[in-house]
This record gives sequence, C-alpha cells and structure tokens, in this order.
Amino acid sequence: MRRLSTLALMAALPLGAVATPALSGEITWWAPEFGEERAAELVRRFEEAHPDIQVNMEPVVTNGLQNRILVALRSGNTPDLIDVANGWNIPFAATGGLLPLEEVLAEKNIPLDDFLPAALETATYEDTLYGLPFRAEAHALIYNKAAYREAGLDPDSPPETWAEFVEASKALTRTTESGVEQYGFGIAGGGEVSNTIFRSLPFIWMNGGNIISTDLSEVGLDSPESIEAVDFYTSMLTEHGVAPPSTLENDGTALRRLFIAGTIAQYQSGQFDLASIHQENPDLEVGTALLPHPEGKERAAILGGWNFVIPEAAPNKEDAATFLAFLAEPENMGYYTDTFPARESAMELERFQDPELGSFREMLKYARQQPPSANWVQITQIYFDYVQEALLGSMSAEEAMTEAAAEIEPLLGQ
Amino acid sequence: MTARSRSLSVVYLMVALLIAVSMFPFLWMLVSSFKRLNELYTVPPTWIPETATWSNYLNVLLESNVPRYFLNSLVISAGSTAIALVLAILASYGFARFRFRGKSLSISLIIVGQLLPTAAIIVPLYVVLNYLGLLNTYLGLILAYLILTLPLSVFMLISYFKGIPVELEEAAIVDGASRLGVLLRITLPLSLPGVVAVVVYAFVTTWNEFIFALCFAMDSSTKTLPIGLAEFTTEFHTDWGAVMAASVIMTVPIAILFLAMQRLFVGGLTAGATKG
Amino acid sequence: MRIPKRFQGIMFVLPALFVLAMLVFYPIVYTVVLSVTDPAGNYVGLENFRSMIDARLTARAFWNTLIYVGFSIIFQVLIGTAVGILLNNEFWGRGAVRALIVVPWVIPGIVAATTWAWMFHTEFGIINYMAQSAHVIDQPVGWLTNPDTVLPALITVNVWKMFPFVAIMVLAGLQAIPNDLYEAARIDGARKHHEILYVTLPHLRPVLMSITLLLAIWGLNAITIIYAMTKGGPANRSLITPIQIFRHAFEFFRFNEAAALSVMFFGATALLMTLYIRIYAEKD
Repeated sequence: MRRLSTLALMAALPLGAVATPALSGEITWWAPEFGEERAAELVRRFEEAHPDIQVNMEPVVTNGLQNRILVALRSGNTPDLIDVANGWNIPFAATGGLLPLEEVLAEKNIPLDDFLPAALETATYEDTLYGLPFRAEAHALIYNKAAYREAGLDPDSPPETWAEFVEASKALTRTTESGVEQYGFGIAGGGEVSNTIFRSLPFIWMNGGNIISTDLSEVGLDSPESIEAVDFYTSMLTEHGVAPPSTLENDGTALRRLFIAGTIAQYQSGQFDLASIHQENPDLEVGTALLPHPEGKERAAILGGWNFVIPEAAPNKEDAATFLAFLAEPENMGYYTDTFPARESAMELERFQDPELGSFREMLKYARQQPPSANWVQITQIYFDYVQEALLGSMSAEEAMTEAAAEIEPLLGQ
Repeated sequence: MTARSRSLSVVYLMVALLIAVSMFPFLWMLVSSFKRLNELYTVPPTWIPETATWSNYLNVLLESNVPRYFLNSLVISAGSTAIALVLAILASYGFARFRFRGKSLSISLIIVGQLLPTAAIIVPLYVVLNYLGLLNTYLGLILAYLILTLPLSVFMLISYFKGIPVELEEAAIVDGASRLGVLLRITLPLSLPGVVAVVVYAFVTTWNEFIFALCFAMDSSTKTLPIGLAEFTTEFHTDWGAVMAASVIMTVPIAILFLAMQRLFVGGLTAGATKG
Repeated sequence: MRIPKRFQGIMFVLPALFVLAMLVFYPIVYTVVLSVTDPAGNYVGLENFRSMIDARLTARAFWNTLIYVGFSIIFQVLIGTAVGILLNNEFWGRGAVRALIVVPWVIPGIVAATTWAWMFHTEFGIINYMAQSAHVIDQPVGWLTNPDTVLPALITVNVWKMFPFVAIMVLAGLQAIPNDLYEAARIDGARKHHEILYVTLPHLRPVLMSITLLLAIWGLNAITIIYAMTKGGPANRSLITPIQIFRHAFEFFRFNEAAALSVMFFGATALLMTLYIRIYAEKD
C-alpha cells in the first residue's frame, strides 16, 4: 500500500474534494449501489428515530471503489461511514486511516461475541478491530436434481468426497435425452481473476495447502497438498473432460448461464445465484450441497462479505457511531445484507430460514478470510495465469504451481 | 460486351461478399438483442428469434446506468469536440497563413503528439489529473480527449485553409479587418466542409474512446457508454441479450451521424491524414 | 493595440501548443521521473527498469504486440487496398455500399469486441456453428481460449474494424489519379491487372505509406479489442504491452514500474516510427 503514497499525497490537495465537510448532526455514508434501495430505507428509519441526525447516503459503484476509498483515506477527505469488501479492510487499516472500533462498540453495547469469528478476523489488524462485519457469505455446490436422476445418481445424497465427486461428475457428463451435451461440473477459468480464486482456493485449503500463508511469510503453492488440489481442479477439464470446452472463457456469471441452459449439471457459487436461476428457468430443480472434501480432511471456503468502517478522519465520528450501532441491530443488519448477516442473532430472521440456503449457511462455518496481503491482486494474477497454463495443458499442475510459487516469492517481503 | 458484363458480375459478387462480411456482426448483434435468454443459450443457434422480445432493451434503458452514461458521453464528446475545434481552427490558421520562428518545431511537436502511444501516458496523465482534482470529472476527460483529437484535427484544417485563395483575405485586410475577423468572417465559412469533418472526427473518436474513460472515470457520474458496455459483460448481471441491446443503442446514433455526414467527413479526413 | 505581424502566427498557434504541452509533454517528462523513483519519490536509478525487464511477461507481451500490430497492418492494408480498388469500379448502388462498409470503422471498438466475442463463443457462438455446419471443423473451437487461435482471432476483429479506413483512403487516392494515365496504358495494350500493377499502385504509394503509419500508431494504442475480449488471456497468450502497463498501474498500483515500462514502450515505438519515416523519406 505504500506504493500509493505519491498518488495519495497529490490527492491530499483540497482540489479533489470527494466528500463535503459535514456539519454536526450530519453524516455521509458511502454505500454500494447494488444495495441502494435498502440503504435508503434504513436511512429513512434511522432519521425517524434520530431527527437530529441527517444521513447523506451516497451510492458508490464497486468498480474501482477500493482505489477511491484508498485515495480518500490518504487525503483525509473522507465520508463518515463506508461499506468495504472484507478483503480490503486490513489493507485499509494498515494505512492508518481507519478508526479502531472496540471502544465505540462497547459504548454502544454491541456484543462482539455475537459475530462470526472469521468475519471479525477480516477486520482485525494487529489485534485491533477496524471494521464491523455486516454481510457474510460462502460458496456451496449448486446442482441440477433432474440431471442427477437421469444419470442414475441420488439427488438427495450428493457426493461427499473428492473421489465420489469426480465419479458423479463423470456420470453427469453425457448427451441427455433432449440431445443437450451436458457436462458434469463447470469450473471457472476465465473472466476476472477472483472468479477462479473463489472456486479453486477452497480446494487448496481443504487439502492443507495455501497460496501464501496467513501470516504472509511463506509461499505454499508448490507444496504437494496445493499441487494436488490444483490438479484436482484443473483435471476436471484436462483429464476427466467433465468441464465444458468453454472453461477458459467462463467466469461465475457464465457458469450460472450454462447451468440455467442445462449445459452444466453442477457448479460452485453463492446464494445470490439462486434467485436468478429460479427466475430464468423456473422448471429447473435446484439442489444445493456442501463442497466435496478430500477423504479424511475438512472442508473449506472463502469468506466473502462486507464490513462497515469509520475513517479516522471522519468529520462526525460521534453520530457515525450512533448510525453504525443502528445498522448493527440484528433486524437492520438482516434487512440490509444481500446474503447472510455477520451476526448470529440476525441469522434467526425469517428470510434466512429457507431450506435452500442451508448448505450456504453450513459452508459459512468452514469459511476463512483471504490472506490480507497488500500484493494480493498481483499474487492472485500470477496464480491465475498458471492455473490457466494447467487448464491449457501446456504445463502440468506441478510445473505450473512450481513456477507460480517462484514468481510470487519476491512479492512477499513487500 | 460479354467480357464486360462478366467482369461486372464478378464485381457484384465481390461487393456482395464484402457487404456480407462487413455487416454480418451487426446483423447478429441485432438478432441476438431480440432473443430471450433461453434462446441465446441454445444449440444450434436460431437465425430468427422465435419469440422476439423488447425486454433486453427495456432492461438496458430502464434498469441500468446506460441512460446516465449516454448523457455523460454526450456532454464529454460535445465538450471535447468544441474545444478541439476552436483550438484546431486557430492553430491551423496560424500554420496555414503565417511564417514565424519555431513554426516547423511546433508542427513536429504536434506530429509527436499524434504519434505518441496513449498507453505510455495513461499513468502520468492519471497523476496529473489527480493533482488537478480532475479525476472522475467531465473536464478531466474532456481535456484528456484533446490529446487524441487535436493533432489530426489541426492537420485536417491546415490543408483546408491552404486550399482557400489568400486573395480573398487580402482584400478584407486592406479594408482594415483584423486577422481574427478575417478568419471568422471569410476563411471559416468557406471551410465549412473541413470544419464538419473535424467535428465528426472528434466526436466519433471521443464517443468511442475506452481506455482513458476506463482509467479516469470512476463512478456513474462520469462513466461513458463504452465503459457501461464493458460493465455489462463483467458485472454480476452479464447477459448477452442486454449486451447486444446496449451495443445496438450505442451503434445507432454514431452510425446515423456518420452516414449523414460521410461525404464531407471522408473528404476532410483524407485531406488531413495523408498530409499528417 | 495591434500585435506585430511576426507574432501573429504564433499567437494563433499558442493555445493548441499550450494544451498539448500540458497534456502530452509534461506527462512524458513526468513518466521519466516516475520511472527512476520509488513510490516515496526517492531516486532509485534503473531499478524499476530492471524489475520490468526481468518480469517473464515483458518480453512475451512485447512480442505479442509486434505480432498483433504487424499482422493486423498487413491484412488491413491488403484487404483495404483491394476493397478500395473494387469500389472504384462503376456499379449500381456504389454510393450506398461505400457508406455502409465504413460503418465497422466508426462504431466503438468495445461494440465490435463484445459482438465478436459473442460470435466466437465456444458453445453458443455463431462462428463455430457455421463452421461445423459447413464441415470445416468437427469439434467446437475455443477461438479465444486456445493459444493457437487467440491472436489470429483478435487480429481478424482488428482487421474487420480497420480495413474500411484503408479502403476509403485508397479510394480517395485512386480518384486523384488522372484518367489519361489509364488511357495511355490501355493504348499500350495493358490489361486490367497490368493497370493496377503499373499505374494504380505506384500512385497509391504515398497514400499507403501514411496510412500504414497511422495504422501502426492506432494499433499500438489499441487496448480496447483485446482488453474487452480476452484481457490478455488465456495464460497471457494475448497479453500486449499496453495492457501490461495498464495492469501494473491500475490493478497492482505499481505506478513506478508501469512508468518504466511506458518509457521502454515509448522508446521502442519511437524507434520503429523513426525507422519507418526514414525509409519512407529516402525512397521519395
């Protein structure tokens, strides 16, 4: 993050006004555009209960948001409350631009033990809490029940282990009665890097490997465990042929389309896909299951989600804390999140009881945060490039990961 | 006669092939934009939508940022074109009618401006715009786009102005008019085709520009249409039907503008580009 | 107050020069400064250059750029010239055809890229469907994901997009050739292809020269098509230098390294351009 200091220095000039200096009784909140309506509703409710505080909610586009926030934090010209993706929280905290929250939360009686521990970890930098998680999610397996039946599999007991999963995927790879070329398991191999990270890194973790260690001190990509997991992932295409030929152009969205079209019978994704599957193909019988794990080892998933942060330079920290406490109330948190809330008590709300969500909720227990490295984007780009090499068959998983590890190594110490 | 008609039919055949290749992607874009989602993802693809639908267009127009991006594109393209035109008219007149010290140096500076790979200046331009507080503003993009349009516009107009007899101006100067007055009242009206060519060129170039907008526009207040289209293919709601509908919406205005002006435009461009 | 005559010219030219200086020359100087400093602004010599030259991708990206731009230009000029000559014939509907074929050139690059990406789609793309129906291929080809086809596919799109520009320029050049030259050739008993070879092409040479230069500049600038269609993938098989610069700057936030790469790219381009202009000037 140091690398941005030149830039940030320049942004420190007041010319680049990004947020209006708030008067007391007025706060500015940057909330992502996709939740704009619910955010506006929460602001309405809050202002009703606190007539003396006015909230200016600014919907922000997530594309390029990380950089925009970083520039704001560096320049000291910030809003009072920001929604940040949980992967950004620690790098932001490392700039020194965020307010430590423990005291604030204690004052407002927000019980931290009600929050998902893994979610809190995404906001913890050097043993201090710099953010409050409000949204949490993890991928699970989504599958087509009818396709299971047609392939002679039991739609009510999806595969548990890697070996079972490969067998099931092979059985599902067939030409269906209606003449569709169906593939057993859609993996991501294209689009934005994060698509492939979210779908392959959990397998590496399950098997006991990693890309880099949690304390950022070591590269673990060339360990036998990591290589075996990457091989498990890429051989879906290269060896077993259960992933469609378009794998290298498929991202998460493409996989959902292929699933809706009946071209793939299983894929990994978050619960947000369910609504559009039901809407676009109401006849499709959707099953959800936990991700398969290696024999004798535990499952894993990447914890996705969003946290609230208050910048150190926020003009009106006091009212921002009041608003934060309001948003953290289980009912409001449950209303605001697109996926799951980060609080156990909010999880009890009606909207999270849908049985279809069960697997996603269960997967949350296995979810971990991505390594909070400032170079994570570059590291994952290198990893992704070599996963593609393996998918192309131009390198074996072992060769690819050994080379990737060698290239990631110099990025660690920075 | 037979040889002639044979060669003519060869010409027609080749022209037909040419039209087919040039136009096919547009045809496919149009067909796809009317398909429902399920039909888009069908093998084999259908040539005519089974159940044609406007829903892709409605999605784009009502449920996305595309209308806002359209407005941004319009403001930025119009603003940048206007500034480029004024600067180019003045500069070209200076180059076409005067001799002064440093003239050839100035011309070569403008040539360098045109030769410069944009990729090489994105980074410093980002820093400069940031320093001036112009990132994510209309003005920032309007200025950045001058880099792309100004040099060729200058060359297009120089050749036009040179084609206008100096005698016409000299008469007016003898009558006491200033050079600026002469330019505005005599030379410019006579160069209207050249001016139109510059306007179309600058407008089309800025309307289509992608990479500066990608780097310097950060939210829906300044993002332009090309960025909007790119977002359609990367955000969660990727949807080829909507992407194709948005493509049609982006293509139509520019194609109409171009087809209406193409005679003037092609004349002006060939004059400028071959000399530049 | 009247401005002395010898200053009048420069007064007209100054505003444009000032704007270009601010937007082009200052950034160039600044790039050089960035390229030899670290993020804190300390001088680090050639450190950034060294790390970019060592990066495995730099050479590959540069090579890809040369292939992409080189082959694009060759086909753009060949096809464009042929089309220009074709459209110089008298036939019914010539005006309409001339106008129509230029449309690919005026539409936004991003539109061309997304439309072609959809046509190239492995499973649902119309190109695979047509090729399979015509028995040209028997398995769907992953045009944009196969290392052997990705650059040719991208070059195809680039050629499709730009050949109309060459065609209209050539057409304009053809119309400037005096008719009596053709008549003289015909009296000498020249056939059609002789005419093209000995009358048309020599006269087009200056036009083709400047077109090639413009195409090279635009080609080296062109990120849009590749960025939108493959982002440089698969496994960097279509990564070009401009995209590499963009990645380092705006995805990795390594502005100093990106600046070093920019300087090298600018140097290489300037060298190519100078060579080209030198050769061009000598032949005249």
